[in-house]
Amino acid sequence: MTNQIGNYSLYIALFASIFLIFQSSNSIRNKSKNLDSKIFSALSVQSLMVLISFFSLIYAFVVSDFSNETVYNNSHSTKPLFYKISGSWGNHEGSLLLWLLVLTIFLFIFFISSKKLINSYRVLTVLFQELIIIGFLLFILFTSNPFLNLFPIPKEGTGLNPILQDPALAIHPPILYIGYVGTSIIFSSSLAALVCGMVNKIWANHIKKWIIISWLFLTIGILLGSIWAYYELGWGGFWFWDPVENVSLMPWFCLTALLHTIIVLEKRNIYQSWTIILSIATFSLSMGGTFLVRSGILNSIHTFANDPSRGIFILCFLLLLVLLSIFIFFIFQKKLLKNLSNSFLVSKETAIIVNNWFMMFFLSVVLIGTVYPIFLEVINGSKISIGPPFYQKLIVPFLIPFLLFMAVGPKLKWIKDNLSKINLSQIILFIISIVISYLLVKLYGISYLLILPLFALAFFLFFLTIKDFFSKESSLSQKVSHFGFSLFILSILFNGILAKEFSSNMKVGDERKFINKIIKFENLKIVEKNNYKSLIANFKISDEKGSMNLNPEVRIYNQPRTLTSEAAINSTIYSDNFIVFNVIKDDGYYNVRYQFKPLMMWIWFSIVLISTGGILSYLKKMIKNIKFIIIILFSLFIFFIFFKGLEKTNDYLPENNLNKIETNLFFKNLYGKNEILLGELIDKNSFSIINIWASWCLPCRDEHAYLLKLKNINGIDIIGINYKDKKSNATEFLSDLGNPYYQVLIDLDGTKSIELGAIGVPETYLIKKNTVLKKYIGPLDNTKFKEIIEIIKNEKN
Amino acid sequence: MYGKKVKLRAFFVLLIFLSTILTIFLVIKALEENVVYFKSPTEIKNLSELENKKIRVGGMVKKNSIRTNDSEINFVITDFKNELLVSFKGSVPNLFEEGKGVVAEGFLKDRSYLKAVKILAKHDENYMPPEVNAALKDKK
Repeated sequence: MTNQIGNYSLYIALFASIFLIFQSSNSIRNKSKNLDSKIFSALSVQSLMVLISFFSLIYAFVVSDFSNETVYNNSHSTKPLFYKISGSWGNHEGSLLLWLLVLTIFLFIFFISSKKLINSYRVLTVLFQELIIIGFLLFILFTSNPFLNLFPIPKEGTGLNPILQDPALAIHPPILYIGYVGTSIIFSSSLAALVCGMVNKIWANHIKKWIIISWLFLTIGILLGSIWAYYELGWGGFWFWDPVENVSLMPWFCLTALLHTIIVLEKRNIYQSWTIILSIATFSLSMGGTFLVRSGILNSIHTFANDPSRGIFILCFLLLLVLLSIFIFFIFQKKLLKNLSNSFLVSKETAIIVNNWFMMFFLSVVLIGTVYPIFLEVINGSKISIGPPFYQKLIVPFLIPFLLFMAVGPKLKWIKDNLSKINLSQIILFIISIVISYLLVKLYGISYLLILPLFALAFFLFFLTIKDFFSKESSLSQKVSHFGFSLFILSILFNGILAKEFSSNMKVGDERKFINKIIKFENLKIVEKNNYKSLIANFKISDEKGSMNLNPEVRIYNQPRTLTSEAAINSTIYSDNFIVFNVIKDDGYYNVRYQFKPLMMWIWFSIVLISTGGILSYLKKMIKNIKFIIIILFSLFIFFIFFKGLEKTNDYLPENNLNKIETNLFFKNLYGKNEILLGELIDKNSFSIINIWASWCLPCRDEHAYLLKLKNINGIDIIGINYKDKKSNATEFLSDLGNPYYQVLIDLDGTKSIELGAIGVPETYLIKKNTVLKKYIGPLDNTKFKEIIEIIKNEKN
Repeated sequence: MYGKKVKLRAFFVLLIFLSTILTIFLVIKALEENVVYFKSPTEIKNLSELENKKIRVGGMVKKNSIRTNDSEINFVITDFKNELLVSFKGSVPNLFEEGKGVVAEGFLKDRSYLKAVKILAKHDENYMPPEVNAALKDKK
């Protein structure tokens, strides 16, 4: 039922789109002025229909309606409600529907909020935007329809990739998409403005709001994605130059350039064609990004949906739009005001152009780094990848002049200024910055040449913007953003210099020394959750100042069966302690990675601050009276909430739940054919030991001697469970080393051991009357052996 | 004489021109230094000479080949035709498992031994690196 509703409403939206294209092109030709209400109603119908279809998809996800193919492929009835909802846009079809929704709603908002501007401009914007919308509608309806029926109706879905089951990632796509799609309005309206010949101050003032909104959402969207990668993927950093990340960064550079240029257009009425080119480029990069991520052409470690044919559609559509816009640009470019008003070399205009140059440079570096491997593969078939050093080498040196211009640029006046007005306080700040950086470089003994100027200029920008907060010159939002950027660079530098990383393979109980710290793998617990089982490790990290316990997790999801690692992060304002572990194979070893990351929180915070600048400039008119301090407090508050949310609460189940053993399991015997119920083997009155082992498991050989010793103690039956093994190997093993077992049961596929709560081999449980007294993960050794004897002795008395 | 405006424009054009050339030069130089080639175990077997350059090798982790000790993980990458021993110190991704696709980045010590510095696996349970997929198809 919901499938039909969703589907039909999309078709109605398609008709609305066709009607709108027809009407708007008609009205431009006839110059009629009464079409406002018609377009308005068609737009409302369209937005409403897309909204309905979007909500029917969410509804299908919420009620787990598996007659819907998308739901079947991406959901599961045991999933928490929150992830059912976020699952609706966590997949290809749903995410495109979200794109479409934002496209139509934005257009609707644009239309009702632009009533002051001339009609033909508004109608043209509607026309261009509808061209994009119709492309998306066709794409959704014919290549990736989220409302396909499935018959017969499956009982259960296949689940959402557990790695996507995360709060940051649940809201990351919608926010990023708002940013992406916002650029479509900028694109359509700049083309419309070009055609109408109104690329001027008024238009700039109007479109600026849209640019800021898109920029804001894009920034926050990238931030969320980055935070997610930090703790969920266990990559332990904030940026990896992965193609998928780069794809979101490219429109960001473009949009940031546009954000600066539009101010020049607004104030000085120059750079018209450059503004238009930037708008076109920004939108093309957003669309191109979607194309690259969706098509699977990008060889990324995390592209989620792979379907080349879909990618080709987007590519053709994108090419069509770009060609159309270039065509329009060259035809109407003559209409642009050739306003050759005076501007001089030393002026704010130049400073902003310099900003744009840097942005374009960063953009081209990222673009080449991302696209070159694809290009090369097409040319000569060799497969390459470009690592972080490429980007670092090209971007880092240019940050030095960039920071300088960022500090000095905003101080320049429009039209003409001269550099002789540099005052004493600036020089003092500059010298202070150099001294501080010199001391830092000496203190940490850094040999990398560029660090000194980078530190010096970042500090210079930092001090200068702080000083500027007390002056009335230039806008608050600019100060906040630039201040945020200086903080960003400083945190990255400190983070990069002081970060320490350690990785090792550890068994439970192992201890490793790392610089001045001791990392101890104290224990491992198993907790059953609704849709996954989790192994929670307890690591104790101690140094001379004290110690902390961190509890990273490995989650074993059942639908689809996947392992994910949840890093344990202890965040303070000074540093992050990050630990993540991983199961390698069932031999008792766990792969552990510990990172000490100073000022990690400040990296996130500085990005929040940079975007706060965007919020401020948007709200400028409304909040004339409120001082910036309140805003900063507010952003601090958001930041605080954000990190509270990030802190993982490790809710252990109470001990007694772990203590009961599942005895209602049938096993085959190694030496016989009959099925035996585990419960019958367990001694009802006394102790038993269950030992899970395999012939291929080396630690099992180590512990074998202890099992033989245990066998000799009266009153203990050892039940062996042979885990994922070959019968012949198992019998050979026992005849070679001796058989300590009272019964040997076979667990061919390992599923029964999981029911028992085992996570690997060897594991040994000491049991009294169906209750687990003690669980040993990993091989028995002398201390464990003695402990078992001790427990039995005490219990008997 | 040319006017001030024209001079300014010429200056800008020159600046743009120079910076473009500089950009291209830098990018190409950085590309040459930082490109990491991707090879399959078979391609490595057939290499004419070993360079001391970082390389990526993709394939499947051979069944029962993972050996772990306190500091290292050793395993075998196979494309079902040739094999390559990999030793690695560091952290592995979640989906590093026997019988699953893997990409190891590191330095070749000889034609059958790679000292890896990074292990990549994709976070999709059915993932096989496209290169591996292609390599496997070639073999069939």
